[in-house]
Amino acid sequence: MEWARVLEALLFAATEPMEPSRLATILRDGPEGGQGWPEVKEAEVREELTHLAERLAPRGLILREVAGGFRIGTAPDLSGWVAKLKGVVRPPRLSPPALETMAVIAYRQPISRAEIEAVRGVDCSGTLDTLVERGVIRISGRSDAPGRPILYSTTPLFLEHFGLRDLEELPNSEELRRVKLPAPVDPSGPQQKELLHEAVETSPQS
Amino acid sequence: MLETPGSEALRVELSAFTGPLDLLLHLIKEQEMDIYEIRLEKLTEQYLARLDKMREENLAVAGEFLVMAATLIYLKSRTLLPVQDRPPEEVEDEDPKWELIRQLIEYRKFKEAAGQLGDREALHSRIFGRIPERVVVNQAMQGPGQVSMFDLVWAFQKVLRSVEERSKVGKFEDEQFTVGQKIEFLLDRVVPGEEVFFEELFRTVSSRGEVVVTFLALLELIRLRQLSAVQEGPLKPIRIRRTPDGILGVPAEEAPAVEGTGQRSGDSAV
Repeated sequence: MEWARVLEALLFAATEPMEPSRLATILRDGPEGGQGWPEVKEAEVREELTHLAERLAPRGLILREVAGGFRIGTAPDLSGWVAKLKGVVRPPRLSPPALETMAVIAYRQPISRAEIEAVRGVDCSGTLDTLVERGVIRISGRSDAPGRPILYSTTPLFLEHFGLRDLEELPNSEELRRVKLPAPVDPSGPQQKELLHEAVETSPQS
Repeated sequence: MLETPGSEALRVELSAFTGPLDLLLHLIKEQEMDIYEIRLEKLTEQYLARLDKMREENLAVAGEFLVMAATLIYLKSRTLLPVQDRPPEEVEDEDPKWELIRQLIEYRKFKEAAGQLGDREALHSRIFGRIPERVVVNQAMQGPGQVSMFDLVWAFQKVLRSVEERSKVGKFEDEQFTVGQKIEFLLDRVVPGEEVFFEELFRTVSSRGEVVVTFLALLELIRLRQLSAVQEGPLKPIRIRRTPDGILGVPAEEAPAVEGTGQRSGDSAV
């Protein structure tokens, strides 16, 4: 396939994950002032991407499907070598508390701080700030709950940081999304108490 | 002599737990208990022993650990009362210990999920892609150069914190700032054609109240399109400038997330 070379070049130069549909559009539209391949279909691009991934496998580069697109990177076993290059920065890893907060948000987004804290049992304001700063979560709106608390959701960078294709790829996503969250701590309000009792009654026994 | 290595060990010990629930799970595992059949007496005793060792640690963390200690002691004491002696509102309820168990089970699931995420992160942080500095544009931003409400509030909170640190304890002042005065001050301060850093506007401010009033004045002027706030990118300093006369700047609308969502729709149907 003649356009396979173009595909490779696009992926190499891209600075973000490239969706197959976007790649197909570029191939169809053609280069600056030139002729493309108007008949290229997204499915064909996807197929070629799989071939490319296979061809790269024994080499120093890998092609990953992350955050809804495809991205070329260096092979993970070579990280020690690549890290010696000047200007190459490896994103620092998250601390255990930040990872916990991250997990709660990933499975239960959009979610308020109080709801996260109800799960973790600790103050999360610090880890939330860190995660927002790192760009893996964002403020996505406000809840209709009293006080209209801010809600947090994950960003595409979250998917990329953890090498996830999409949110469906989160391990055990079915089970964890179903999990009933403890009611957020609210010192006032009898209705809160009712909620808690209700939750206790539905406690799993098996 | 013995104390120095001891306190070192403490530090390591505490950082190993992300919170009281984490510590409880650890103890349950260590004691080989079934999470559905925790032995409160044993658990409380172990927990308090750990807490004793942690006592010299960070207060904010210790606070949460202490709340859990109180809960455990309450639950334990409750088991000592015969059913007919329990407070009336509790008699018909299930054992409140279930609430703790439920919370632990829930927490354990997310802790495991966090572990799995951590494994993924370990692998994928070893893959380098092009352009290492990954900048994600905050979705609350309204486009290049525009500053969202959240960014402004963020900057405002930073200023507020620094003023609180600056202000002396026990000093009372008769504060007589109005938004009107501050509007004049701001228009005076931000000369057309020049830009001023957001923080710069608060340099002379000495109290919390004054920060708030100044910020309100700033918001009002942005709303009136007299001033506009610009930012080169996420987390970059915010600069304030005068909107050129006769040219309406990009409207300083509220970020979509700030606005009320369509709550009223739906009801009127039928």
